[in-house]
This record gives sequence, C-alpha cells and structure tokens, in this order.
Amino acid sequence: MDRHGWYLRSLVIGAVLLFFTPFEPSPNSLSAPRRQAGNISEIRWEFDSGG
Amino acid sequence: MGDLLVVGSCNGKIRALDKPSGQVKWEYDITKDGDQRQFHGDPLITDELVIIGTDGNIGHVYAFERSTGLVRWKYRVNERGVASDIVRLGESVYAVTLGDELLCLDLKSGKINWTFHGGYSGQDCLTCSSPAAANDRVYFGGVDGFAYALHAQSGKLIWKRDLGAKVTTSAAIRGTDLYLGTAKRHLYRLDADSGDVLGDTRTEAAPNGRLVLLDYSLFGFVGDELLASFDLSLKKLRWSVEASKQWTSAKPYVWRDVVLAGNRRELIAFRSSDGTRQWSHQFPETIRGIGTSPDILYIGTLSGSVFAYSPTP
Repeated sequence: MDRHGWYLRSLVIGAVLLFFTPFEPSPNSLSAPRRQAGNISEIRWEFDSGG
Repeated sequence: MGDLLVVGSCNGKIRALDKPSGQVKWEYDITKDGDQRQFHGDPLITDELVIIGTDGNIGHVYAFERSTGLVRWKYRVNERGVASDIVRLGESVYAVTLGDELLCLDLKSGKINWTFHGGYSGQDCLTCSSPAAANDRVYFGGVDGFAYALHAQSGKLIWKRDLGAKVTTSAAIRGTDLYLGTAKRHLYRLDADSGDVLGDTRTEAAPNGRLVLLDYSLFGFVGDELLASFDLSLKKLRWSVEASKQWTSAKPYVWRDVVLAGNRRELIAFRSSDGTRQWSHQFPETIRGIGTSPDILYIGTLSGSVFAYSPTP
C-alpha cells in the first residue's frame, strides 16, 4: 500500500494528532473522561479521545 | 501557568488537555458545523488562538480562543476542507485546501484576503502539500506538479517551477532554499527567489508527508518504509532506517537529540546525527501523532487513546 493508501485508511479508522503549547487553564474547566495508567511507571496518564 | 495539549481526533472532537493531568479544559465538536470529522494538519498556535483546518465532505479553518475554546472565527471550505498545516506570516495565515487551493486569511478576523488555485482539478488530492512562508512570500507544491511562489500580501504569482510530477511533501524552507518531494521519487532544493533547481536527489520511493529541518539535516519519510536524513544540499544521504512494515506516525518528530517515529505500535528514537537507534517503547495501539515537551512525550494513536509517556532510556 502506498502512502496515499495509508492516508485514506487513516481517514476511515481515525487518527489522533497532538499539538503542544503553553496554556493557562480556564477556571471553568470541563471534567473529562480520563483514567490514570496502571502500573506502567513511564505512562503518566492515558486519555481516550473516542476516535 | 500550566500547559495545553491540543488533541484532534477523527470523531470530530478537538480538545485541549491539561498537560500534567490529562484533564479536558475545553472541547469543541466540529460535526455540528457540517459533514466534517477530521483534523490532519498541524495547527498554528498564537498567544490567543489555536487555528486549525478540518476536512470531510466539507471543512473549515477554525480559530479557537486558546484559553476557552470559544470559536473566534471560522472560514468554510466547501470542497473537502483543509488537511494542510496552518502557517503564519505577519497578520495573515495560510493553508492549502484539498481542492489544491492556497488560502490567505486575516489572522484576527478570518476574512479571506486572497486565494490561488493550482492547476489541478481532480479529486485524488489526499495529502495536499502544506505551505511554507518566509520573507514576504508563501510557497506550496501543487498536485499539478508545480512549485509556486506567491507574494504573501497580494497573492500575486512570483514564479512557478514544473517539477514533473505531483508534489507529495510539504514545502520546507531554510533561508533561500525551498525543499519539496515529488511522486517521481525526487527530492528538490529550489532557489526560493527564482525557483531555479539548486539540488535534486533521486530517492528509493516517493518522499511523502512533512519534511522536517534541523540544523544541517532534512528528515522525511521516503515511501512507507524509509525514514531518511539528507544533508541540506541534497548531495548526501546521511542515513536511513527501515520500518518493520511501515512508518505510521504523521511525520518524523525531532525531540532533544533524537528523531522519533512510530513503527506501528513501537515508538523508536534514532540519534538525529547518525540514525543510531537509541531506545524504543511498545504501545498497545498504532502510533499516529506525537506531541513533545521537555520531559514528556504525548503519543496519539489511531484508535483514539493518548498516552503521556516519560521515556527512561
């Protein structure tokens, strides 16, 4: 499968892209579906974006 | 002062997470604005705004207020939207649509300043080239096989160069050198002033996705399987490494002194100078996007999970 094929597949099954920036939290923050990772010390947290 | 991690997923949700905790600070569902679900380009993040393109049957360029997630403005794109990165020059932002059209929008208002359409009118534009902007010019590679340089303020065409095949990479610029790859397995270095070809190397497969510049090296994926580093003159392939099947991350990511890439479920770090494998880590799902901070990596996966990961090589 060429790269375009891979890209097309990603459109179907979903992709999570991450971007980082400094941020000042809002006082009216949302609560969130979130769970702490288990006993894998290198994983600080895990978040399920749902897709 | 905290930190923000912006996560765009293919269920149409964009969220800002608190970096230390993973808690959601704000979220927005783009599906309420039309038949669009995806985020495939890197956003532009300013002091006040997160500006990002969306795609689907339609798409938008959105400007969200960074602290609240409120929509400051949005610009609708009818033909499948925007999958390119958003880049900024001065008070304008630039994006390429999946219809191969370069947009120039006002940063503060989202009003369109000008558009420029490449010579392509088909529908197979899945990875349209992201633009690059510098020195009052904006550059992009068209699906029609041309590299274009336009005046950033007016949109007036300054030059175009026929590269002989569909441009398959983002545009990357360093000084007066412009880099682009094509479907006919070439990587080009063009003079950004004139469009003249200064360097040209044949690659094993078509370069694709985003080209990443660091110091004296250019990193990129070549075909599905190779991660390669070239010197900036393109006269020398510094190193290349092969994935077990295919690289799955959205691009190579530079972090500290390594280049990171997702090899399906395995995150691998290669020393940027020579490609020596430094460390790796297995994740339960296929790796796609990677966010970085000084000590933590944020690993996004195709199934939707995001992991805050602290490497201990």
